[in-house]
Amino acid sequence: MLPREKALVKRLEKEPFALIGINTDKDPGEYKKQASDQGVTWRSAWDGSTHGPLCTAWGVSSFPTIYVLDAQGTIRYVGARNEKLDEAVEALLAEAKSGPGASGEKPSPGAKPAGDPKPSIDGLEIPVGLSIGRRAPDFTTKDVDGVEFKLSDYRGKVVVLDFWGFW
Amino acid sequence: MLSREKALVQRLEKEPFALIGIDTDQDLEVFNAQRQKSGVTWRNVWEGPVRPGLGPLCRAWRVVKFPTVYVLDHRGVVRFVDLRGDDLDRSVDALLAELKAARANR
Repeated sequence: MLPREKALVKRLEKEPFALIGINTDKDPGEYKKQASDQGVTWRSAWDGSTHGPLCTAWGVSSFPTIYVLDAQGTIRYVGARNEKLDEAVEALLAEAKSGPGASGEKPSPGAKPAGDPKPSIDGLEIPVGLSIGRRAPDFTTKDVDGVEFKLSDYRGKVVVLDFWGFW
Repeated sequence: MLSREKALVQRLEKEPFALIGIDTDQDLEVFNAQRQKSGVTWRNVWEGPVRPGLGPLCRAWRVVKFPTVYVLDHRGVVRFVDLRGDDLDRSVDALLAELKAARANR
């Protein structure tokens, strides 16, 4: 994994790309020594353990876990490794150069992504999130007041579906 | 986020609009107490006593970070993801305008 990451960072050093490590070693001193010995040049945050605040916030329970974010900060791929990671990054770099966010401004409502909003990469784990333009998967459930409902009950209305919590 | 959502729900209470929360707190009682204290009046679904992201709706909707917000149009199509603040308001207003135009053209 490490040689691939080093190669990726080196190859893309002039591109709008960053690799950020979230380190889960218990001893930051030992980590820094190892990182220095092994030529890890990119930014790393130290999370203290595999149950640190960043791992918890990002729902990470297996290691390594890799998220690939696009230029707008949206998680687009999870679990890419080696050449699949390279492909995912290349696809998003291409999108950043040609898409609506290329100038750095946020896409306005109604703006359609240029090209495929989720580049399909054969063999890569399914991208996180549902594609814009996709029919929303229906569900039947009970709300916190015990009332059963279906999402499709709301057909004919504009719906904001918010995955949240007070935590 | 919460104050913006409350304002959105209040502003659009007479419009064909709904905000639905998918709550990922692990303790339903704590959530319900906070919900009442915070004036959350809209419908919420509790994902169960599991870590955020591991509930059935988070899995089906591929949600791994929080909050994640989807905006659906009146046909049930995902149109926007992860807008906040003014952008969220504008997206909802744009889809409401689209809905009204579709009804007018019937």
